[in-house]
Amino acid sequence: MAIIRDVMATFQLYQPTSVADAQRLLEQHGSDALVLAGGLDSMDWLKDRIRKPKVVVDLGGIEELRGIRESSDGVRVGAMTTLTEIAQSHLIQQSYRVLAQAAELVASPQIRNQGTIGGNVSQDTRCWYYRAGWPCYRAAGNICYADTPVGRNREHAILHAERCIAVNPSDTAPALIALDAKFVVLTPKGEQSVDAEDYFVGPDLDITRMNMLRPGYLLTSIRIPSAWAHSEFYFEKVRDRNVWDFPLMNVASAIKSSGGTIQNIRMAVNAVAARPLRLKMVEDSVRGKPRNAATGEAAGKLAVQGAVPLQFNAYKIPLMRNLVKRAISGAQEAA
Amino acid sequence: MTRAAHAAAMDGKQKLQEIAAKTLGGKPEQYEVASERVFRKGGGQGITLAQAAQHAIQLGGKYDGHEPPDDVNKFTKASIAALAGQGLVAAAKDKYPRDGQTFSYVACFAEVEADVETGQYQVTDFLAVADVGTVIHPRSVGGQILGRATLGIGHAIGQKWVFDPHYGHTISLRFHHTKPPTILDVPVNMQWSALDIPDPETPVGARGIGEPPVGGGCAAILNALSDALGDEIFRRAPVNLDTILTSLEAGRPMQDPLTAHI
Repeated sequence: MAIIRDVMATFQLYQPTSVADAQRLLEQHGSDALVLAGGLDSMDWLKDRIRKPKVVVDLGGIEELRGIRESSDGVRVGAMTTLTEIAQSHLIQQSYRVLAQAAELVASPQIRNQGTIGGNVSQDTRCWYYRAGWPCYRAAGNICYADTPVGRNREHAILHAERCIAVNPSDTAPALIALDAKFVVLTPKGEQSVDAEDYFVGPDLDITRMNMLRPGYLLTSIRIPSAWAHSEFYFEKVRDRNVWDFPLMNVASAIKSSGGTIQNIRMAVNAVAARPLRLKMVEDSVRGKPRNAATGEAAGKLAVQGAVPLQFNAYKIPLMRNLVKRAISGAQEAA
Repeated sequence: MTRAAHAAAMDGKQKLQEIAAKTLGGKPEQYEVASERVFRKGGGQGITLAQAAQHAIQLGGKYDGHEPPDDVNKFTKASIAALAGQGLVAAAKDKYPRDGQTFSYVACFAEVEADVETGQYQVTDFLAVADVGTVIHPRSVGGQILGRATLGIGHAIGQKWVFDPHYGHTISLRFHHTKPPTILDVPVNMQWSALDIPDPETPVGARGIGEPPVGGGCAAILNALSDALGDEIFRRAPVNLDTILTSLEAGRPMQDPLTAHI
């Protein structure tokens, strides 16, 4: 009988119903295991036979990983909560609107029904070459195929590129950074709670990973503190078409102002580097300044300092400058 | 297509009338075809098309395709031979007079709204006016005009394969990677109209419609963009936001004309 190659490679499928069972399985199988959340990112890798894990641990049956719960100091979002649930949550819409906006702009309604917040922040990069299975730096090889004079790098990084020029494509990540969210991760050594911006990993730290998850690790929930609830939020996503598309860039900000003066601010952009970037220098530069176009203009220029364009992504520099400007001045100027 | 289909349909009608006359008596011209039946003019005796097909098989010869017309193409003869004996087979050569070629024309109008800070743009209004001969089925022709214009809009606003010329490799592996336009990219206000002037070259006055709106749809978007942003912004389709933004930033075209399918 002919060997059928146009299907996923065989793997053992485990469908635990508790976090404890899932953690046991992940520790037991280590790097042989692939964690399956909504399956939107994972299925591509499996169907293309680029990844052939021996074991797949499907988190879909773990009820305790789902749901949005209000706590004394904010809200806890289970990692397996769908993007639709987040976009439609009354609580998120009322208090943390920037996250609802970000979730609503992910992909398409069908994908948001299936895709989870944990999967959205933990998804792999969209670099054409890497995803096609080419043996690049990120795939533990010793070349970048996208960074050549004719390489297709329109979607790639303008900041913090180091050998690998891929970018993080998550829409919810910058919103969570703006909200000062904490990611709760189960590790073999116990539970860790890390700042949203520290969950993500750039190529300087580890070129083969997008985030802190190692074999045996599990992202269980995201805690959003009430400190930034009801701030003045801004989220904008720029993409090639109006639905079912990854960001060419997105920006999120949370601002507390009084009498038109910015008291405090957190902001982040994504799809400009291998990890979503919190713009700390920009935040520092605008505190105490009036929230207006001039402040936004100056902030935009500061934000792109040090940006290095590749052959086909020079547009990302004015784009980032303009998005940062809008996120600070607050309103989209008439085109 | 309209001409050949009409010729074959006329042959089918003629054969139905002959079969009815052979079965029920009288002359072929005393019968008419309607409502899936062939019956005596003014009402009266008749048979269904299914019964006529059974009679065609019994009669054989030209009726069920065993004897094709002499003047049809050899490929048509091969097709007739493959169908022979399965029912009433109608086949004819298009011998209608012709005094010129038949072309369809579509004029497309588009309005776009561009955001010069992000390069994103939205098609806000679209109208296609078609000169396609007689309109036989308005909803069908409207669907063709707007549907195919949408394909052209897709070519203008972003649909493309991604190809690496250095490694000689297509890196967009699936059709959906080409990013066809979605329903949210199509203008809300999208209208069509047709002149409904019969084409003298076809027996029913209708012409083909399908491909002409593709070019019209694409060109209308590109012209609207050029009008909004300036003539020296882009030199090829599709026009993505990166083309617009880099060119506006630099004050000159920043994208080379298309030299390869990339």
